[in-house]
Amino acid sequence: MENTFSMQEVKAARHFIEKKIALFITDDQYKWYIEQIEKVKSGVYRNIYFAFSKVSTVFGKRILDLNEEDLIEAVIIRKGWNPSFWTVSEFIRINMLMELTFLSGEEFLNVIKNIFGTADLDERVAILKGLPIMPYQSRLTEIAAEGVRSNSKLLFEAISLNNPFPCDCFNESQWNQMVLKAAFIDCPVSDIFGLERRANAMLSDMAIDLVHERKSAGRDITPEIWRIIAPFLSTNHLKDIKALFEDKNTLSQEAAALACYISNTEEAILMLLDYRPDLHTKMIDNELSWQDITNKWNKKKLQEL
Amino acid sequence: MRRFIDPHVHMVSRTTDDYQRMAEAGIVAVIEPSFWVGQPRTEAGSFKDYFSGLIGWERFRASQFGITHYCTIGLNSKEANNQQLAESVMKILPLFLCKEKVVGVGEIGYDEQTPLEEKYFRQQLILSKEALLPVQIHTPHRNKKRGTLRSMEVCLEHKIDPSWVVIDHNNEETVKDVLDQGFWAAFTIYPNTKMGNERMVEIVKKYGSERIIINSAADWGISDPLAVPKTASLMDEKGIPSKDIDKVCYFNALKVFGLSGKIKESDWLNAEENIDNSYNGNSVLRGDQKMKKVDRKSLSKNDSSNIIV
Repeated sequence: MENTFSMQEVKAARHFIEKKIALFITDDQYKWYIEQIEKVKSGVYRNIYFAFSKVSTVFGKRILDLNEEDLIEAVIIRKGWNPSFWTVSEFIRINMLMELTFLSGEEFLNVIKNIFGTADLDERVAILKGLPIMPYQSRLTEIAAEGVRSNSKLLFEAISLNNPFPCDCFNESQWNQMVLKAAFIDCPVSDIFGLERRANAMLSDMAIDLVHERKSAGRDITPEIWRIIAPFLSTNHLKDIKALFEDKNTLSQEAAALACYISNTEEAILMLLDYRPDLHTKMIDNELSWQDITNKWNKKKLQEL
Repeated sequence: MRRFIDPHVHMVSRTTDDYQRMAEAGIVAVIEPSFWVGQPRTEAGSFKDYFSGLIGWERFRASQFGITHYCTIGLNSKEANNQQLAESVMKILPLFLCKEKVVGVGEIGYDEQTPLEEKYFRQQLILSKEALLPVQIHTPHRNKKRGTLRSMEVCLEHKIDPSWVVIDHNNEETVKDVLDQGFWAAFTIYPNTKMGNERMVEIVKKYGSERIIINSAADWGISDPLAVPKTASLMDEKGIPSKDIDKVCYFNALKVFGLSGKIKESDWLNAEENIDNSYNGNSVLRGDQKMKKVDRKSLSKNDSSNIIV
């Protein structure tokens, strides 16, 4: 069976989770967990469904505090894995599923799909967040794609943000739909892992269409969208870039500057030098990045409330 | 503002306008019993998806309006008459009863009071004991009094503690027996059938507020999702003491369904904290969901910013 994330790596992820969780759970909680797993392993197979559901009641929903070192460790185990928003219950739930690796690959996949099929909101969020550290994950793209199709922002964000699974496992069409939808519903595009790696001309074109559509409707769109467009910026887009430079909003001007700079096309660079040579200098000095655009847009959104 | 719980409302049939008006009227939590959908389902898979919707999508929908959504899970009496279907549904019920927001087994009981209805009613009572969950009982429209008495008898035969059972859709004819036997008596306020608000006021005047619960049972028929707050305001006008109104429109439901251990006042009182804990995805940072949870007044009409296409 194809396996993008080896059993050895699954083991490392589990070791990480168990180490972090140990600091936060009580003896009673630990005892409960062990009992559940013993039941499952001794053949009371159905118990996994109940135990998986019970986790949130037993462990609560607070976010597990991870420091910078922990997050670095996580990235070493799985490139792009960022569990900084994971709750204690989410860690426990994923660890619980990974206990099932004694099953055959087919059996394991079936259980995951069945659990997902009857899962509640939080359980689905946990599974979607956990996909990148699961065994046989390349066989679980359908679950991930369902998360992307979901109308619930919680599910959509669980799979699309801070999660390396889509970058590694989605085909181009699935990837493009996800990134475009993130911009469309104003999720922080910059929190998608692998934007640069998966950039493609089709996505760039779809994104520019969205920019035009919003412009016609008189509605705004996150300036992060230019991060998607930039790698495939063509001369056809220069009039849009020009409009951004001429916008009074400095955030628009900065997004235009970054788009030109990243695109590395002659006409765009000339336009940048023409309108905002100061920003060009800033970018050379690494003083303006897409992350700055994201932060400023977040700030603006919060101020609007 | 007075807080309300509507402990019986079928939100899958209601629009976001309803959610919005309910939130504005002070409804902080709803309990959605599983019922039939207006016409019979023919596949167990339809039930699975329906139950999944109650614990998933509907819960998310409610949360957008600052309303905490709970549900009760069960095989309703009407569809219990399709034996083959009923057998399959009984098999999947345990998978859902253990979910976090499932606060009871319901709504179960009788419709035409057939032997098959009785069979699955009993099986589900047993299930409620195993799952340590309260029971929400639908009493029949026709032959109501007998059906109500029979429901209670069967509960007692199975040694279910009456303080764990809500007998729903009561009227003037049934309330005394229900209260006398120690069960909770719920009343559904319907514009045309079941109870009217005026009659409800009289019942509270006569029987007080102990173990009495008001709900809307709003669904896909002519019904009013604001029935609870409206009845509360009528009770207020008619001089019912405030503490009694709070009991029948809020605290009693909290108490009986609280027996499940899964519904607590802090679930909505600490709403902000809860969002930070449970929904700490990134849109919280962007604020749109937080805004809706925290400040009801900021809800704009027909806001669709959270509705994804």
